[in-house]
Amino acid sequence: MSQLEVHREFEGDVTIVSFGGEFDYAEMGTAQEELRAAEELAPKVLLLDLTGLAFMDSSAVRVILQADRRAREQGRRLALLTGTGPPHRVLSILGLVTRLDIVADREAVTGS
Amino acid sequence: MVPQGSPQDPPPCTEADLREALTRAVQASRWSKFLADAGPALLEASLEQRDALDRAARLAVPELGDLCVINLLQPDGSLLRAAVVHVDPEFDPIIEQLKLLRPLRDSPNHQVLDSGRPLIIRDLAAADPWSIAGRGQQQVWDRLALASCVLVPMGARGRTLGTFSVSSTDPDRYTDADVPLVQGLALRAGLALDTAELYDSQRHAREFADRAAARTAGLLEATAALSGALSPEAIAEVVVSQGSGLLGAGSAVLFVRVADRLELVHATGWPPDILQRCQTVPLVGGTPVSDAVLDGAPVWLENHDDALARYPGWAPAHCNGGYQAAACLPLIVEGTAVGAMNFSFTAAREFGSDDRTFLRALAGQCAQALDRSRLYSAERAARAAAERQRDQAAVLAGASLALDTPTSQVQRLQQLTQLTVPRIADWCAVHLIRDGKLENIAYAHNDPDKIAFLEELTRRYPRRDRYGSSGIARVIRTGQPELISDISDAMLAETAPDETHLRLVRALGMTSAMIVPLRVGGVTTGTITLVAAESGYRYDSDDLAFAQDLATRAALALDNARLYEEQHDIAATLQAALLPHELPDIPGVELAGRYVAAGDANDVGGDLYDVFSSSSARIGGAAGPWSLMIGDVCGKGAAAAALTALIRYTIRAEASHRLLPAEVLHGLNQAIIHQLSTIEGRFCTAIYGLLTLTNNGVRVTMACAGHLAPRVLRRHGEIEVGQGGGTILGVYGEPTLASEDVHLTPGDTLVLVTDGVTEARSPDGFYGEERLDALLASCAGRDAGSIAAAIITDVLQFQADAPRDDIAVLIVQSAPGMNVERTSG
Repeated sequence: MSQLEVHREFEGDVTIVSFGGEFDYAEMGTAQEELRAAEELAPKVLLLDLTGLAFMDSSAVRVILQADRRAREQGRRLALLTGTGPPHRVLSILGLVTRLDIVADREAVTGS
Repeated sequence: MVPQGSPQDPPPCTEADLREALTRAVQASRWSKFLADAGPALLEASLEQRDALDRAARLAVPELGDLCVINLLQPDGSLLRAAVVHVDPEFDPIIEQLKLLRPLRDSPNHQVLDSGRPLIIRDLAAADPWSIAGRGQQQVWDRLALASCVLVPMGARGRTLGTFSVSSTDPDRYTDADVPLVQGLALRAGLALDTAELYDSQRHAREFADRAAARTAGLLEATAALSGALSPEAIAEVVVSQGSGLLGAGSAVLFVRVADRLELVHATGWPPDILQRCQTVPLVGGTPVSDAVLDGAPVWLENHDDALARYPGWAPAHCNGGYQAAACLPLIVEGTAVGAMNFSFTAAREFGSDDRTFLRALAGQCAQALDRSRLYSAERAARAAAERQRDQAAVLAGASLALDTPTSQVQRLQQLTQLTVPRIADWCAVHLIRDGKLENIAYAHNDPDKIAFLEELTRRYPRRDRYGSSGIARVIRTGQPELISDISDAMLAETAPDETHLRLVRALGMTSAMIVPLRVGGVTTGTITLVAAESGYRYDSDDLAFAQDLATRAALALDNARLYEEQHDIAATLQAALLPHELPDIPGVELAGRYVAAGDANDVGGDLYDVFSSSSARIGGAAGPWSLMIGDVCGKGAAAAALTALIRYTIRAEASHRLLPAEVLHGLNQAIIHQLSTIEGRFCTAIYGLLTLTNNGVRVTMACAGHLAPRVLRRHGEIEVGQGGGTILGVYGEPTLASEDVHLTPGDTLVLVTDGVTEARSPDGFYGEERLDALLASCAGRDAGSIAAAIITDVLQFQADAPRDDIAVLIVQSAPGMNVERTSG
């Protein structure tokens, strides 16, 4: 569980990119590539599932903020599934829980 | 000339016949005694044919005449005067001449041979000497003055062997009665000759058998020896010694074919200067060896004339070497000549079929052995090459690790030298130029005694002149690698400053060496020397390429190390510039700040803290114009450092004209967004506070922007965790900022840390806020510096001394015992 694992799934209009493992400075490049690849498909909703992350640092936050900014600029929705583990703790300390579109579960965006 | 009957004629019966028979019987009894004596004498005579005949001829003189001649029939039908005996020794010179000449084809001797009957000649003096004796023999013949003779055929066991004749100066010397006697003598001479021949042929047969046995044994021995000979040199040695020993050759030479030429492998029986000149022989014909290879057939030269006729360019030198005959055989493997061997003989000789058979067999064995050797050496070379590549790969892999270790240059190079020994070198040394001098900074050998020896040598002869004559100095000057495949004694002598040095260097037993430059940025800063000694290895161009590869990596690594060290210095300097040199002196307040960079100190970190006097700042009625802050910038490196610097100086600027902490952080947020708009997504967290003194301690009014909540450690160990909160700065135009207001009575401590503390990880999980709070609780009663140190120590230990993120700690403590009643000012 040391490296970052990234998976992409599709549910209707929603593209789900789920992260697992550890998301830090060393993994920024990988994560950015994966996100841009997902954005290429111009999904109405892009859901980042962070619940599989055992660790996430400010570099990961920066990647999320960049994705969030691109979504706003392009009129897409970027939602985050944070769970209650480390990603949630990090985002709440940084005061981003209220700033980002954080959802309780996948159904909140897939509508099923 | 009266033909006479043979002794086997039927007995006579007339009176005359009887008388004659009686006379004959009397004579016979006398002669039989003579013949009886003659038999053993002949048989006991030397078994050499000529001696036997000579002895027979001597028996006839003077009893049967003045001259006795025995002619031997030759395979070509001619007659050879094998024995000539005259009664008068004075005629010996004439006799010797006579021996050299052969009777003519139509001479009486041939008549006797042809008819098989005896012949008496009584008018020799009248006869034409030319027809009797032959051309050029008249004078000789005249001096002998012979008048009559008896000639009889000589034979044995039904074979005609030649003629036997006795001659006399007396024309009436011979009657028919003498014929049986001459015949008897001739018969005995023939038997003696036959016996001698038999003996000879038997002896020859035995010699032949002995020789064949010896050669067979020799071949077996050669085969056995060849099966163990794995190099062409060893094979050549076996073949040359076996061949020359069994053949009696004076010289033996073996060549192997290499492309379009023959290369000398081994030779005996030639002086070194001659050998030097024929180390290689072009495959163009004109020499026996090249012809043997080109034609795939042996060349037999039985004597010098033979050699001269066929090899006019080669034969004189061969002859000058003392050789007359030569046998040269191609060495053939599967139809292809892979070399040739040549045996030379000091005397002319015929190569009989047994010789030829033996030499062909030997050549066949030799060729097979050479082929085995080729296969063996090809296999061995392939295996050695594979092993070498494996060793080289291992050394390079090890070198990359060793050179990447954050240790000193000398340590890295020492490790590098040890890696090469003994895999690719028996000795390895690294020299660097330091302060203009050549310095041997690292060396390795497997044997500590050898190391001690080299150290002694280096101590006694510190050859540190970079402009000197040593190979290392030369490589430093030219920047070109040097490969010395074969270190000769002359080379050692050439570079040795004196006899003692030469003796010591010789003792190192170096066989081959490579010196490669360490080049950094186009400048040669040192060398790596790889030496083969005990292994006897010879370096080739592939090895040199490897050594250069190694040197290139080493040089790059050393350069990187230098750059790394420089960068480290720069990072440390920059980091220091982003942190306060010293914290201000605030009455009744103890401050402590600590910063620890993450493992890789190359990058400037993003954590910062600051405490400064904000003289224009005032809050409430309490005194205390001081500002404090702690912050954490996302990321590392130059961009992070730029943001860190911006934060530090913006806060100092904002603090001078804004009263509320939240206003200061708003100002900072605007500044980041405004000035670093291009740095997408980069943000920071921060706590900024104003510190004022109260009459019972210290009040700190803070604004928090997405930073870890402040902690208060009360004097008796209670922990109060602040609200924290607020939004990170640099991302949103209107961040939420949380306010925090704490009052510290003497002994109370405010603890501000960055997330390098709480987010620190070990295999057991995160350090976390609970562990921090528990640690703080245990720090009750300790001073600010001690608490800061306790936090840093605990977090580092938790991460096994390898922090992955920067750690910053700022401690503000209301000085204990300063329980003064202050009057508000």
